[in-house]
Amino acid sequence: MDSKALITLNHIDVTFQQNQQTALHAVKDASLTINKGDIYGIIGDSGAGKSTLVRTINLLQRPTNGDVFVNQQNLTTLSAADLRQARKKIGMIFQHFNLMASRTIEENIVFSIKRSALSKKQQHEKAQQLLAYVGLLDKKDVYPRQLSGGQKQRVAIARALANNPEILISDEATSALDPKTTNTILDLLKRLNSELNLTIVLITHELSVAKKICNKLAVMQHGEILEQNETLRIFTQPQNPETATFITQASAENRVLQQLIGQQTATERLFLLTYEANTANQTLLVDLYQDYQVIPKVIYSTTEMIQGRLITKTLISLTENYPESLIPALQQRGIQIMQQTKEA
Amino acid sequence: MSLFTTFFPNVVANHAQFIAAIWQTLYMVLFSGIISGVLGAALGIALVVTEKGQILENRGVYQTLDKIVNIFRSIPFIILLALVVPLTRLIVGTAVGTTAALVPLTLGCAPFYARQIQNALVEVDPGIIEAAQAMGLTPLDIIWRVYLKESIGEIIRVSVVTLISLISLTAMAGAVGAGGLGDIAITLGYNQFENDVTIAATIIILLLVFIIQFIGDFFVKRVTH
Repeated sequence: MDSKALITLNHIDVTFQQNQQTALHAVKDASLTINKGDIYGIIGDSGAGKSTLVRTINLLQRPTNGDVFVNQQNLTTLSAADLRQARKKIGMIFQHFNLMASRTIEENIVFSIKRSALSKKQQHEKAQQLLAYVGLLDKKDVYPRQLSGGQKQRVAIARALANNPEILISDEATSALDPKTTNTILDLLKRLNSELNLTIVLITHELSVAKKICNKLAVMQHGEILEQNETLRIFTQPQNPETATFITQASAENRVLQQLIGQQTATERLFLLTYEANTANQTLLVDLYQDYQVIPKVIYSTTEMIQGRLITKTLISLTENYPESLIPALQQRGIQIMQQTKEA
Repeated sequence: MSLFTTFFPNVVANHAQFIAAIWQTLYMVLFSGIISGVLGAALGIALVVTEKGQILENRGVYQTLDKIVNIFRSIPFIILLALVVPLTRLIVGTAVGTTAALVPLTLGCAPFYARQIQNALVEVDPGIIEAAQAMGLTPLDIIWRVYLKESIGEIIRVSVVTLISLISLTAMAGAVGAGGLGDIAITLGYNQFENDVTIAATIIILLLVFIIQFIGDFFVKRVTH
C-alpha cells in the first residue's frame, strides 16, 4: 500500500435491500486512494452514489463488500468503541449544517469535545479559538436559528475541527448556499487544507466547486467510479467518454454549444477543442492553416480557470473534406478534440 | 363561607370525604405519573432507537415493544382495571384501594406516554443524529445529549397531554375502590342526586388541569430557542 495514502477504499460495494425481491446497488466495486493533503472531489449527478460511497469512509454507511483503510487501519474490523475513536479523527460537514437548535453556537462546538480529556474550561477556550478562526467569535452566545446559512456552515466547520481531525468530509456543504457564500466557504476549506494540512474529501454536484478547490477528482455515475485523476486532466483530457459527456452536459455553456451545433450545415464539421491557454497554443488556428491549408471558422470560444490554470474551449468549423490527419496531430499537442454532431 | 354553603351544601356536609377524595386523586396522579413517566419514557426511547435505520436498530426488540404498546393502548381502561387484578394482587398484595389502582393506571398510561415520547423524538432531525455519530458519540450520549436535549420542548408538551389524560384515568379508578374525585362525583353526585358535589369535583379537576397546563407552557417557553 502506498505510504502517502491516507484513505484507501478497496472494492467497495453497497447494496440496499429494498424488499425481498429487489436490491438497490448504490455503489459498485468502487476503489480509490486519497493522499494526505489532497482536496479530493467526488463529482456526479444526484443519485450517482457519491454520498453513499463517502459515508463508508467513517462507516456511517457500512459497505456490503470491501475494505476501508484510514491511516493503514482497516475500519471495518474495528470494535464499536475503537470505531468511535477513529471517527473523532474524521470531521464531517453537511448540506444542511446539522447544528443543534437547542444549544448556542459555542455549546454546539463544546458538544463534540465534551467527552475529551480537556477540562471544561479548556473545552470552552478551544471552542472560542475555533470560532475566532472561522470569524464568528462575536456570535458565540446566539442560537443557530439566528445565523445565516454561510455562518451556520462556518460553525459546523469549527465543530468538525474540534477533535483535531486529519480528514474533513464535506457532503454537499455548499449546495444550499448562494454563489458568494459558497466562495467564502470554499476559501475557508482551502485555508484549512494549507494551514492545518487537513485532507478534504468533498462531494459536490457543482462542477464550479470542483474546479475551484479540488486537486483530484473521481467522477461517479450509476454507483461506479468512471474515472479518477487530477482535476485539470479530468477537465481537459478525460479518458472515459462518459466522463467527457458528463462534464460537458453539466457545464453552463452546454446549452449555448448545443444551439450552435444544431445550426451546423450539411457540408461543415464541428469540433470542440479543449486546451491550456499557453503561448504554444496561441497560434493554434494559424498552425492549422499553415500545416493543412484549412481555414477553421471559430464559432465559439471560452476560457475558464481550473486549479489556477487557464483552460480554453473553442468550437471550430471545418469543411467536410478536411484532412483527417490533423486530429491525431492536435491530440499530439495535448489538445483534446471531440467532433460534435447534432443530437438526435 | 355562607355563600359556599348555599351553593355546595353537600360538599360542606361531606367535606371530610371530599377532601380525602382530592388527596386520593393527587396521590394517584403523582405516583402513577412518576412510574409511568419513567417506564413510558424508557419504552418510547427504546422504540425510537431500535427502529430500522436507527442507532440501535433491533428488529426483534422493536416489534415486541411496538406490539405491547399497541395491545395495552387498545384495551379500554375500565376493562383494564378488571383485567389486571391478578397482577395487582401480586404486586401490591390487594386489588382494592388507592395504591392498588396505581398498577392499572400505570399500565394504562405508560404505553400512551411511550407513543407520545416516540412521536416527540422522531421529530429530531436525522441529520443531527448522523452528525453526532460521525463525531464518535456513544449511543447513550446520543440519546441523552441529542434526542432528549433537542426535543425537550416537545417532551414537556406531550408530558402535559399525558398528565391530563392520566387525570381522566384516575377518575375511573373509583371502580376498583380507589376513591378520588371521579368516584365521589358518581357515588355522591350521581347516585344520591347531590349535584353540587359533581360540580365541585369538576371544578377541582379543571383547576388541576389548568395548573399543569400553565406550568407546562411556562417551561416550554423557557427551553425553546
